[in-house]
Amino acid sequence: MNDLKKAFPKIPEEIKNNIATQIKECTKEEDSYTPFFKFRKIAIAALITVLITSSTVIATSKIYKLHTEKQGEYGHKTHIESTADSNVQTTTEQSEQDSENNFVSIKVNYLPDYMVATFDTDKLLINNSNNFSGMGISITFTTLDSVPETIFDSNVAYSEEFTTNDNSAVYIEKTYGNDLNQRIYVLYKDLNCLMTAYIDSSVSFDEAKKIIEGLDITLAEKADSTSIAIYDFRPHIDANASGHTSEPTSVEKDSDMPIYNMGEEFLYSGYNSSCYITVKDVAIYDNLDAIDSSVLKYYNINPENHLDSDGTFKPDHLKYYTVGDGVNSSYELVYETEVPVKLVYITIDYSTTYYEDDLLFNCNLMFIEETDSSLSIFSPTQSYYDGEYDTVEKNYYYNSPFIYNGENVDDKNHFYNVKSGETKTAYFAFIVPEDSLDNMFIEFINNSTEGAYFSTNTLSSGLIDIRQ
Amino acid sequence: MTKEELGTLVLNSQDSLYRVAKSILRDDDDCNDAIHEAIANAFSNIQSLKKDKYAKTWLTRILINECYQILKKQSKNLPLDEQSYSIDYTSNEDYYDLYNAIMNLKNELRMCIVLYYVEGYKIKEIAKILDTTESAVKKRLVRGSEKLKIDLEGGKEI
Repeated sequence: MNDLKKAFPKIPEEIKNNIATQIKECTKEEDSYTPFFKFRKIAIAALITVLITSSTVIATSKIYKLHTEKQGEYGHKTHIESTADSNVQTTTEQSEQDSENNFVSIKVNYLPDYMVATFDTDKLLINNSNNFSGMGISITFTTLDSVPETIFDSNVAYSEEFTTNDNSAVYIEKTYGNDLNQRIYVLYKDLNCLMTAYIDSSVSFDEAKKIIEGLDITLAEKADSTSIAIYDFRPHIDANASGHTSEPTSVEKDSDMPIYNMGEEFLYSGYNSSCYITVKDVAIYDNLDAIDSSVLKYYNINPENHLDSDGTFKPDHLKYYTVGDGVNSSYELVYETEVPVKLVYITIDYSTTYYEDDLLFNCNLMFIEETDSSLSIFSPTQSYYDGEYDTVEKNYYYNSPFIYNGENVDDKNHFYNVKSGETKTAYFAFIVPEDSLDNMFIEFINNSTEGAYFSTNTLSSGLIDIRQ
Repeated sequence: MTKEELGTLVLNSQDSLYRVAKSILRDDDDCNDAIHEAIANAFSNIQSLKKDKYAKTWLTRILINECYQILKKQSKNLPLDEQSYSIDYTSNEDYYDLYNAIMNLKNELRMCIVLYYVEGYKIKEIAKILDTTESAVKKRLVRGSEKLKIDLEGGKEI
């Protein structure tokens, strides 16, 4: 990565001279630089005016609508249909103006009590605080120019064409999965956009429709706190496609990968900084009591949803599916079972030898089988069914932790303003199958391997053996 | 911050400003225009800068917005991420593949990679510059790094 800066061309002398001249003018006296820029802005404004005035031509338009049709038993093709409509008129002025906008500004007028809206760069997230993983609805916008001619959805159980705020829309429900198994496509022809809403199974179609109906959407030139980018999103790309299939899941025991023990201090170089790490403690619990209440609240965890009447964890319900081709065959449940789970609560110290204004920390849990010669990563769900299957549905993400810096849950996985020599303590909590407690290792990561393979970073940074 | 201080900051940051502009815009003339407009906007809105320590982050954000404005005018019907970069590379040929790989990253990944690895911004600062969450920045850095690694496999180590 040190080479990245060298890879960039050097700033041309002409640009340097222009900057120097401009700075000289800007700092010489008040507004001495402005006439040039005012001229530029006026020139641009004049150009836009020309575009508008010269292109204000009334034209016959068409009505555009989304149409979906079945392919095979489980496939669905959705495309934009147009029909001539002499009663609708438009001007090319609108399209010239619209093309200047790369963002949509969104006002959310309706949300159920249990949901909250947040704006990411390119998506509006409406999180479901009643759901363990916080999933709800994820909304993106795509320019119509980049929408594929046909949007293909596989494994469709049900579809429906409908209208929302006079915009044509299609609802798709997939045959499988709790995670965002519903889609709503909405055509905003006036905005030259297609909305795609990914909807979790915990949100009903009617509720999703009401939320979408309550969105006021306008084009915007610049990003702000209530806007998201319109971008080139390809809804037909298989979201389940994995890019990690060729990554190693097994290493020889005599490899150079370091393995540390609990209580052993080692140096780790992460994203921002280097620091000394010590795994101080690993404790196993039958419930969520060890997790600070602020953390439970932050992660939207209601303990009652996860505990039996005796106050211990409900078992995880595993469902094993075979996956068809998505067109003529679909997901089929082939086996289901329940496995007891435990809370793994890990306490880790971080120390720096110099001041850090922002020390980032994170870790993954890995389940590893040790043989005489190798260490092999496995998924705990593999051990409960020997038959043929393609995917497993479970209630918990075993490898991903709840994180707490011990001070402020809103700081997430950051320590701020760490003094030289100071030690900070972080807490990680995982919910895992009880049978896997003697297979647990952790890695300190700066990537999102989720404990699924040995990344280059893992092989050089090493693992910490926390087997119980 | 005074105008003189802002002027000094711009002069000290000009290499960085150029690289950021160059990571969005292909043409040097466009980079020149974007930097020009960004400097003008910065001086015009200097009173909106609340803390001096955020000046460079603020300036970079203005520049990125200007770059996007130019890009939009150039490619009204072409999404940002669909633009293919035909690179006129006159820098060190040893790094051509690396530069090429960076420029062919999706825009959102490329900006995070450049701001983090090239310009040395912290994740928190990049999140502010790009108006996104730290979590999103981290994910993009991971995806960008992985993509670079794949693209350069068999080539230069990064």
